[in-house]
Amino acid sequence: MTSRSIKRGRVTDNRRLTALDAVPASGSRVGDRRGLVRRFWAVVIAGYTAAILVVCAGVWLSAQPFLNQMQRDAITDRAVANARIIEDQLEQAVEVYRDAAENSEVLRLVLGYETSTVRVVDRLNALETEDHVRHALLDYRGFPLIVSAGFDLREARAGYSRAETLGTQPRRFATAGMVANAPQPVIQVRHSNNPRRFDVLFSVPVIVRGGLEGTLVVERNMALTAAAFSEAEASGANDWQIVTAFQRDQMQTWRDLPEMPVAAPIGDTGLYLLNLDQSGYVATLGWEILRRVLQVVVWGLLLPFLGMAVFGRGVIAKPYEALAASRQKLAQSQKEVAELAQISTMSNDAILMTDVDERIIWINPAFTRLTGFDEKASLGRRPGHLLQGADTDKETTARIREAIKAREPIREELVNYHADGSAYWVSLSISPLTSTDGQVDRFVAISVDITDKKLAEERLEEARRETEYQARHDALTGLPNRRALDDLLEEEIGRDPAPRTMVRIDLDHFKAVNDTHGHAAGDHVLVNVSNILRDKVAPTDFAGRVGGDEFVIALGPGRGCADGIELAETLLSEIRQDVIFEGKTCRVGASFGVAASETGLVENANLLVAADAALYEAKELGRNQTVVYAPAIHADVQDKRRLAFEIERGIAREEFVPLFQPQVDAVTKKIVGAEVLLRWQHPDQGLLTPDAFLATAAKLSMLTEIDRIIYRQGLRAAAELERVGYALPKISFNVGAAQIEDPELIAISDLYALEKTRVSFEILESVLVEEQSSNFRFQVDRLRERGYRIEIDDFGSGHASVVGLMQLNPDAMKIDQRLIIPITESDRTRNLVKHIVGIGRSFGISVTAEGVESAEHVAILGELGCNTLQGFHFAKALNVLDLLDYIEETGTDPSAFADPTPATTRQEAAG
Amino acid sequence: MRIYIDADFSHSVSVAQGIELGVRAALQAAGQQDRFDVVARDHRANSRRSFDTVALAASDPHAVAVFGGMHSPPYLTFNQELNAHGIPILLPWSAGAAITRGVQGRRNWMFRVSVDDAMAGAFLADEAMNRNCRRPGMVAVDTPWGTGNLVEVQRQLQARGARAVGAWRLETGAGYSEAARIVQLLENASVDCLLLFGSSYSSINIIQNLALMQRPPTVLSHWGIYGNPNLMDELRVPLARVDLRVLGTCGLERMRADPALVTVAEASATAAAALPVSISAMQPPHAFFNAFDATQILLAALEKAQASPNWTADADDRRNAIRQALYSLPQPVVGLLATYQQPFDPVQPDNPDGHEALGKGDLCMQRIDAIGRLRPGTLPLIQQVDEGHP
Repeated sequence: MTSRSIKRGRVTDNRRLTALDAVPASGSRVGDRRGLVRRFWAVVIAGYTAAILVVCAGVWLSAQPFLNQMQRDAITDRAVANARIIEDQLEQAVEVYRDAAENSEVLRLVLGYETSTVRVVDRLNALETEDHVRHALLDYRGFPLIVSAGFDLREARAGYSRAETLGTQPRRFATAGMVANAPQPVIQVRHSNNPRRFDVLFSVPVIVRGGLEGTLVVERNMALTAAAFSEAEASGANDWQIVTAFQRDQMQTWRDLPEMPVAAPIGDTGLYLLNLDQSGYVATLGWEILRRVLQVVVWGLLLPFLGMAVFGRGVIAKPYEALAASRQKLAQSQKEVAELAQISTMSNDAILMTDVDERIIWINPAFTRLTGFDEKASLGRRPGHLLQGADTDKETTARIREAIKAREPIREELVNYHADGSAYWVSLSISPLTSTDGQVDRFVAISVDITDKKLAEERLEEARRETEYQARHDALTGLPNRRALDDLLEEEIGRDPAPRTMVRIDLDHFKAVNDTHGHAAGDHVLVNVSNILRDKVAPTDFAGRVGGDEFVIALGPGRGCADGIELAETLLSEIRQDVIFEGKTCRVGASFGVAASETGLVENANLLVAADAALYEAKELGRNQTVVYAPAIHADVQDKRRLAFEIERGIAREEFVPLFQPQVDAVTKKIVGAEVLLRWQHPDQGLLTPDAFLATAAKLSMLTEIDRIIYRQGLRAAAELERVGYALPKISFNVGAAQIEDPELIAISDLYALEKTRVSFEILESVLVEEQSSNFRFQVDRLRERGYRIEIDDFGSGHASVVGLMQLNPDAMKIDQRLIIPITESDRTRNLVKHIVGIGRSFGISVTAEGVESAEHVAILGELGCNTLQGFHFAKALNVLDLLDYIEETGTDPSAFADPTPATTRQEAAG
Repeated sequence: MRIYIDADFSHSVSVAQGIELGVRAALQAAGQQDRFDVVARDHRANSRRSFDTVALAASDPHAVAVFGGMHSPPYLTFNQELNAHGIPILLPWSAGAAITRGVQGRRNWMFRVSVDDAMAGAFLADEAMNRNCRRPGMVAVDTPWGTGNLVEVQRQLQARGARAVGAWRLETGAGYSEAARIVQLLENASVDCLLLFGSSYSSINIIQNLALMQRPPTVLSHWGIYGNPNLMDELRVPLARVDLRVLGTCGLERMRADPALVTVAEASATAAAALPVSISAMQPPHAFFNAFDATQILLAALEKAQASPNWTADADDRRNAIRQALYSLPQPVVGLLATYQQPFDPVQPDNPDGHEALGKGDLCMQRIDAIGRLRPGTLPLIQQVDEGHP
């Protein structure tokens, strides 16, 4: 094989020599090429010149009609420009009369606020100019209020409508900015005795608040055309005439003209400026057009001819250049083949070459190192027979055979066998080689040992499977976990068209086992329950642990609700058996929720939720029992779901609104603030109180959103009240720990810059009892630093300690209305309230009483020393408009919180 | 029989519609809606159109009276010519003092059931004194009505030992920038109370500019400010800063004292309009109250005239009979604003108020609150003591 390669290298060198021998002949062809190029350029230039001559001749013969048209266009442009000058002249006059018509003296006379005409006559006389003829002022019906001497309006109108009147149809002169839909000024024009001058009648409406209340009429004698032309052209001004549309149409006939003369409209007056003489422009325009055409042709043809020359040159010269390049490339290729053969022998990759019958005809040393077969053992044999064995993948070898048969390259990974019988993995790449005639005559196969890589991959796969198993199974019990259940629901049960059944289990009193015997005992119980499940469920069932003491059984296909109930009962009796752990008896029970899609209430995909609802019901009914998901539970679930949807929608539409219950000073009875109360303006059910929706909203984690809406709307209302001059001294919001820690709280506050209203947050006393995070304390302090008040709500309803009260250091405390309402009848309660007020005083904080329902309450609470009162006796919860009325009637006491004493100072004072 | 209404239905829609509804409601309340055609014509604040309407009514043999509209100029400029037409003209809104005083020796056909500027000037001057205004200023629209009021209020202030720091005229059709200029002058003069005699449109511009002042003065306005149906909407923002009080008749106050009046007014208005009408929704309700009472007085006079021997086929005789009956009603007329014992007497040099059905004691100052609601004031003491004719 090596000798063959060397032999082929020599042949290549010989061929290269042959190509170099031909160089002198190619040099003579280059000389021919130069002559050809010169001839080529001569032909191109001759063609270009001929084309210009032909085009010019064509233009010369055919452009004459267009010259005439261009001449008309030039005259038309001039006519339009001059008509605009005349229009401007008329417009200026209209502006003067419009100003006069808007004068207050004129308006007063026309509206009949004045009957004396003296001032208006003076004003109209002041309008007179050199060409001013006469004027009149008419009232809303057209009756004259003022008429200048000699102006017979009826005769004037008749005169302007006679046949010789230029503007026979009065038209609107719509050039200036008039009031929309109001009557517009009207202009009429006629010839006067002087042929250069025209009589113009202006009728300008007198408009008051958009209505026509009168008309100012002025006649002027104006040299309209003289103003349109310069003095140099004045001699030719007779060629320009002002005519009506009719005269314009008839002028060709009357003057026996070869064509219609050029005319341009003068604004919207219905008149035209017309030109009679057009001959003077012909010669100039003709030569001008010819010159321009010639320019266009010379430059226009230059580009295509240049393009053609470049293209033609390429067609003729390129073959000579391409031939030389291809010979050079061939020589380079032959050299590269020889070098590649040498590299193959040195390569670490095992390379073999076969003939078309797939018999090995060449191997490299690396092949022998990899396979253990030398040339003697290999040459003449088929690689498949030599190397492949029992573990070699049949499908892979089939694909290789197909590729060889199709003469296509292929890359595969497969198991081969060493001469000593050991197996190893290779990455095999087979490529067909073609002879000079383009036919495939050999195949080359390159193999790389990838055994180590394959082993690593297998280890990785094993590890992945292990991780996957752990992720889907509970470590303690070995049962499938929540993730496995979710996959089952999504991939199998959810897609199964047949009804399925699910049982949800929650252990009863499991926490007691943990608390009493320790977590090890708890784990023991869980393992025991898991074993029960494994024993009792059918092989087609799925049993999993989905939470601390929660289990789920998904019954296999074909097992229905009755099977679920039966299984639950069996499991219950087993689970209730005592379990002994380290000599101690552990006892638990279990509640079961069974949901089956055969009932038609729920789809397979929602079985878990339904079973959960049934389980919840079982717990509610007293535990240790089985409840089936029935219509009653379904209706309850549907109601909650609908409510949840409506709450979401209510949030999106901001249906949650604040109401305000005023708080009054116990002494002055003036308003010192208002508590914001949440209501839901339900689109169907009207105004709902929080007990109708708050529990569901809390479960859906939507309370924060609702609180933000109420807070924002409450602040907006407070700002609006400030703006209209009825500022509340204070506005209070009920907040929980979550809202205090809500970062949006301060951001919303910053939206409304309240200057006179202080914002207060009422925190439930129960919040003090619960253990609060350090962030809660931090946020409370932060709010106080920003000037917000902190109040304790419903004091006396819980178990807050005085220490807790001291720690929060509030500005005020509100006594729970359950303590306030009975004080009119119970001395004990009255004493209790008295002591609470005393606590407030000892801390130096203000005390507010809620639930003040009668005048008797007011009197008693005043005596007991309450500072602020709130309740139905003063006002129920009001919307903002009613609150405005209430503030207006009652008045506020802005001094109540105007200069807030810092709580720390108060405490010190109290101490 | 026909009743003509000559009012500005284009620019002062609220007042014009209030007058028409008042007339129709009173006819309804009396059960006489089928006996009368009510012909409403729009004078668009043009006195010449108003003159033509009265001329048209006078030439209609079935016409018994004309009800005037919001503006005073029509009845001031052509006062003598209108009186010459010889048809009763009842004025439920126009306040120009000279309208009803006529000319000695000529018949006077103008009868007013409304605010009379001769009393309004004194009333507003009292109001300014009661509010401790130290630097009152005045702004009036440049019409005979506005100018007349400037003179009258100045006179009344002087009579009380006070003096306005300035009086400014607003040109007919003045816009926002002209109003801004005048408000700047008011600010320069440190005006603390502004007595305003403006049309609805010009007054809005003034008040909007006042709201931009550091310390806007209290505005005591004549009721010329009403008329624009969007008045309250356009004033809502400025009203947060401007204390606006408007002169009016005391219908709202009387209704607050006697809710039965609300029932009567709303029931008859609802029947006349064929749709639910609420007094609180009327902006303003005064036009309705005044026209309602004027119509009741006219019906009482008609009843007496028809029973008299002077009631002939001749239209002039009939109108004379109505005029005479207006001077001598047989029994009191119970209206929304007052109980009218004898509302009109012939105008004499010693009785210039003869054609005024209402007196100073029938005037109230109402407040437009911060969100654009008309809030009743308090009934004048004289009303609380004596509910009868002033």
